[in-house]
Amino acid sequence: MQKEFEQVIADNQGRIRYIASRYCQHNDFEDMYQEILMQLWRSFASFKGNSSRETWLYKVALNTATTFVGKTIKRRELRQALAKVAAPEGQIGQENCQADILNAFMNTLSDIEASILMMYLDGLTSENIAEVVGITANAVRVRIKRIKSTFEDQYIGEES
Amino acid sequence: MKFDDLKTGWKTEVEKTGKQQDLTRLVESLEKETKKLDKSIKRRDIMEISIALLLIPVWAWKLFYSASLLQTIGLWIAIVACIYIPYKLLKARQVESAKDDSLLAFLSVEKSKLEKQKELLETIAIWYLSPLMVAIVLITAGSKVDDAGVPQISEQLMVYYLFCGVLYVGVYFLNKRAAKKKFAPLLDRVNQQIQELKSLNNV
Repeated sequence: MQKEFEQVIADNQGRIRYIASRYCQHNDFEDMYQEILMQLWRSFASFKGNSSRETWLYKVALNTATTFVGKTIKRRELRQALAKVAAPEGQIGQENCQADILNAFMNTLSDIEASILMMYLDGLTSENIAEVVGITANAVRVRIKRIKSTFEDQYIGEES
Repeated sequence: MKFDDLKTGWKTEVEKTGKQQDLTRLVESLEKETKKLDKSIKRRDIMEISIALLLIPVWAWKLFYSASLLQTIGLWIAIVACIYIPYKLLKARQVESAKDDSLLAFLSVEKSKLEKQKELLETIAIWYLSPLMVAIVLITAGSKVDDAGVPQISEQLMVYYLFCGVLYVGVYFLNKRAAKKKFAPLLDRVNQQIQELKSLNNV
């Protein structure tokens, strides 16, 4: 089981790190990352393969991240507010690589929307995303459409 | 740039693994940490219950040598409190299991867990401090009474009561502060996320 788990971590380290960094401040990062790993390890034995490995991973990671007792709940709200202020329309075009644009855009979204977007970009189906967050697949599709349209308003509109 | 081009950005982020880790050592330490944490939770539960339960025979034994009615009442209150306090703590930890393992179901269970913990801290004066305080006062005051059953409170005892009173107020406010600082923001956040998820379903 240990070897199998090592493989899961090796394959998903980037995802887990991204989720941890999205949900906390820099000084809480290692704590949250470890907490997610611990919860993954705890639930790995009971993971029976009823859902895909990605779905399981997102469920455990997001459940842990959303209720992580960090010192920074208020500061995270502040970060979101700052991201909106710090990325006024004129500056948006200055981001030159897609990863930077992704990160800047992610910071303007709520945690739930950011989670949905992460899973969408990771190739999970609407049904799988719905299973992770506990809403209907139709609601997921509607939300993705809205996120897409917000993105297009902010970024594509600037290019033209 | 199109929306789906973000997938490339996502791929770059996900492939950025940060510092290389010795995974075998990481999993070993995870296993060790998990066991340590489970043990400490178990130890805490046993300590909380056993201290209270071990005190019951002491109070019961004292009942046979009670100096007054006042002390007898105090001892009975202490016995009842020693049964009620662990019961209250254990009850607060019992939460209904989630109907599935989705984020919404998980948050609903977390909400009920947090509400119970918050309530426990906010009402500590009722279920913990007051019964123990009353028991202490009655047991000590009832230990020395005159022929008419009126307690004879010495100066030393007065200082002791003052000390207990300060402790009572201190513990009460520390718990109240913990409920406000630790649980209230987290509860607000959980509530906000539940509302957001529910509103998504209503679209």
